Order: sequence, then structure tokens, then C-alpha cells
Amino acid sequence: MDERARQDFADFVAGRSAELFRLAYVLTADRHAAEDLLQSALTKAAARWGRIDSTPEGYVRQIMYREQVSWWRRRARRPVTVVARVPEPPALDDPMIMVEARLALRDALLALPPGKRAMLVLRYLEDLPEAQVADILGCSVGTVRSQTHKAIAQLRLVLPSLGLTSTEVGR
Amino acid sequence: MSNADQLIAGALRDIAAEAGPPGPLADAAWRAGRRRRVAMPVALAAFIAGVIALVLAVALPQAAAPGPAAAPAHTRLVSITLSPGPAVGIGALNAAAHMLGQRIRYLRLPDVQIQVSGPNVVVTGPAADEAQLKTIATPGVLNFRQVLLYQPYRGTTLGDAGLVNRPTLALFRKLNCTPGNVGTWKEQVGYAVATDYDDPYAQIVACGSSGNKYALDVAYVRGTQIASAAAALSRPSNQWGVLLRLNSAGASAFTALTSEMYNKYFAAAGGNPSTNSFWLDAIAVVVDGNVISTPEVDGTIPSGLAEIPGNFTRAQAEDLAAQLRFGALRADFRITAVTFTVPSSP
Repeated sequence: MDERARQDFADFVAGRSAELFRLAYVLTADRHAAEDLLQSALTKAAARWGRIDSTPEGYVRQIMYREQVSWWRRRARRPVTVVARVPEPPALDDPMIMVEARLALRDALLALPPGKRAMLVLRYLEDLPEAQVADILGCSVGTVRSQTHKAIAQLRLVLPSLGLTSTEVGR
Repeated sequence: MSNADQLIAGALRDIAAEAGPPGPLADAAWRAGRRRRVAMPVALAAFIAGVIALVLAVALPQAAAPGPAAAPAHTRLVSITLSPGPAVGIGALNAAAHMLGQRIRYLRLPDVQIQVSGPNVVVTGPAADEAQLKTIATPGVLNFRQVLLYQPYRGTTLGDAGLVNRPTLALFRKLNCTPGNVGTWKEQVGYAVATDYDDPYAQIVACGSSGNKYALDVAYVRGTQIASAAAALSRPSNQWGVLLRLNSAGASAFTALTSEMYNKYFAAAGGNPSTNSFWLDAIAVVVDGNVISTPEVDGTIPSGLAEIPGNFTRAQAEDLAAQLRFGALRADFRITAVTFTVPSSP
């Protein structure tokens, strides 16, 4: 019985770990921290294996998101990373400038505190509506809204022309 | 999704793509997860509780430890000693140590230490990382040079010998490049010190790693003009390369160079690699005297953003970015000793 569950779990990890690791990496911005995060989420999933209500993948993802956000909650007073470089506002239609924007944006995203980045991952990478983001993170829709707004404001320091307005993210 | 939404999603995808494969996870997670579940009721029972707690304390951190990258304190260590050619002051040594430290931190190698020791700088880290540490410890002097002559391994020479000065042409004739030779070819042409091949005002000869031979023009764009560098996955080729952002002097030099090359040679080359023009339209990316990539100039590049394409692995691209991002070490720093130690158990 336990042997079958173990095999089942091993198959799940073999099939999904590359994808889950990518998520862990986006959330932590560090390979070692990402391995730690995924390992600890998988350990929790293993402990509940066979008794997980949702899909195992959803469960592991939720654990990773929540761990990142709680980490950030503990450090709510963490100073905001100051991004020294404020380049010229790029025009977003020039292909070469797009590369520059992508690079600057990448650096800015990695400089965000993990909790804010987790919000953006859920909203933009996973493309989930606010209500569902709130559900996954176990917080209110208002918190999702305000945190996303703050994260975008921080990104806009780096990319002034990032055409996101508060009404757009606050909807 | 709006344009900006897509930009954010794209940048997040870029980051995710950099993750690479995870280490082995399933077995350790299963053992740790199951042990905890089984152990809890037992832990309630009488005096065994203490023993179980001990088992947990040992087992859980182990399970949470990152994959193969984490080096236990007692693994074999390698120490790489870097020495400057002529003796330099403590300030120069500290500057070199600082720069190596930046490269190490950029690559997130927590187990590596850098010390100034006497007249040398010593890099110490896990022996398994020896090759990577040696790469990080090379100076990383970069120059962009127009290709003047190109000879593929055992092939016909292309380019324009008329653009090459006499001494360089003589060296080109003398040089014999073979695949995989990235160091010792320099002896054949009497390149003994770094300034022989790093001098931006001189034409040079060089070998590429697959045995191609080059005569290269003076360097109109140099590594000192790099503002930032990062490994990046090129689209649509899906290969790892290094993206460089040049400072304003570098950007205008690069624009001038690429527009001249493009206007002169691109149309005549017609994308055919067996024409002279095709190779005259190529920029050699030279690091520490070795040609690492020869992209064709297919347009004027105005924004000071240059990509070094290459058939790199992710790790190679990151090592190269780390080398270029913080500027070069003094070019005369060389690896003078590599020693291995097994530290006694802590």
C-alpha cells in the first residue's frame, strides 16, 4: 500500500518537478532557496499523500506561494530595495528596446520582496483573477489589490513607461 | 492582456526559464514526509520521544538541504592561487579580490571564499567546482574586433588580407589552430603577456575553440565600455547567450562600427558564409585573446545593447556574464598554483 503510494509520489515528482522548480525559482530568485522551497513543499505533500483534497500539483503550488508570502509577512518592515538605475523611458514597440525593457524588468522583478513577486506571478504568469489569488494566498482581495499595486509602482520606478495605471490593477 | 501585462509575464517567464533542472527530490521528500507522519504518534509514547525528536532533528534538515550543489563542510577543497605578473600593491590585490567576490556572488556560490594572501589572491571552494572557479578567475578582458581574415580548420582563408598589417599577417601564416586549443596556441606566435593580445590599438591573431583561425582588427569597442551583462535565453533560437549593455561611449562606437560594416559588406555577403564579405561583416568577440563568438552584423545596432550569441550552455553563459559584468581583472593576473585539501572534520 505504502509502496504504491511511494511510486505514485515518485511519478508525480518525476513528471512535475521541472515545472514546479521553475515556479520555485521565480518565487525565490535563488537556486538554493528554490530547491529548499520545493523540497519542503514536496515533503508536506508526501506527508498528506493520498489525503490531498485538491490536485497534488495545486497543493504543492499553494504551499510554495503561502510560504513565500508568510516569509514576506514576517519581514513586513523590510526596507524597499532602491533601484539606482532609472533609464530613459523606453518605447515599447522597438524590438531592441523591448530586449532592454525585458532585461531591466527582469532585474527589477528579482529585486522585489518575495511576497510581492508572488502576487505578480499569480496575477501575470498564472493569469489568475484577484479572487482566486486571494484564495490561494489566504488573504483578502483588498490585500491582493494593494500589494499588486505597490509591486507595479516599484517596477514603474525602473520602467517609467510601463503603462499600468492604478485603475488597471485595481479593477 | 495589455502590452505592459505581457511584458511582465514575459519577464517572469524569462526568469523561470533560467531555473534549469532541479536536483533529485522525490526520495528525500518522501522519506522526510513519511517519517514525520509515522513518527508523531510514536513520539507521544514515553521516553522514546526524546530519541525520535533527535531523529527528526537530524532527518529534516537533511531533507531540506539543496541538491548536489550544497557542499558539506568536509568535502575536498580546491585553492586556486592568482598572482600578478610584477608585484602589485595591496590596493590592487584588494581590488582583484573584490571583483572576484562580485563574480562569485553573482553566480551565487556560497561555499567559495576569496582571500588576499601575501602577494597573491587565493580562491578556495569545493573541489567539484574546480573548472568553474578557474573560469571565474581568468581576467575576462573583452574586445570587439572586426574579422579581417578567417580560416576554418583545414579550410580556405576568407576575408581581405589587404586590411591586415604585415607583422599580423606573418603571425597569421605562422599560426596553426586546432580544435579545443584555447591556451597554448599563443606560444606559437610569441604572445607571452596579456598586453600582446589584449591591446585594443593593435591588430591580433587568434584561435577559436573549434580550430578556426582569425586575423582581427583593432578593437573599436572594449570591455571597459560595458555597463552591464547578463545571461539570457535568445529568442527564437532558444540558445543561451550573453546580453551586454554598453555605456554611452561604447554604444556610439558600436553604432559606428556596426553601421560601417553593415553598409560595406552585408549586401555583398548575401548571407553566404563562403564569401569574403560575409566574414568581413562579422564581429569577433574576444575574451582574453580567444575568439568565443563571431556574430554577423545584420543591421546597425543603435541602442548600445549587444548580444553575444553562442552555442553556450546556461552555466557557460552565466560564467561569461559574471566575468564581463564587473569589468576585467588586471590582465596580468594568472593562476600560478592549484592545490587540493581535505579539511579536518569540524
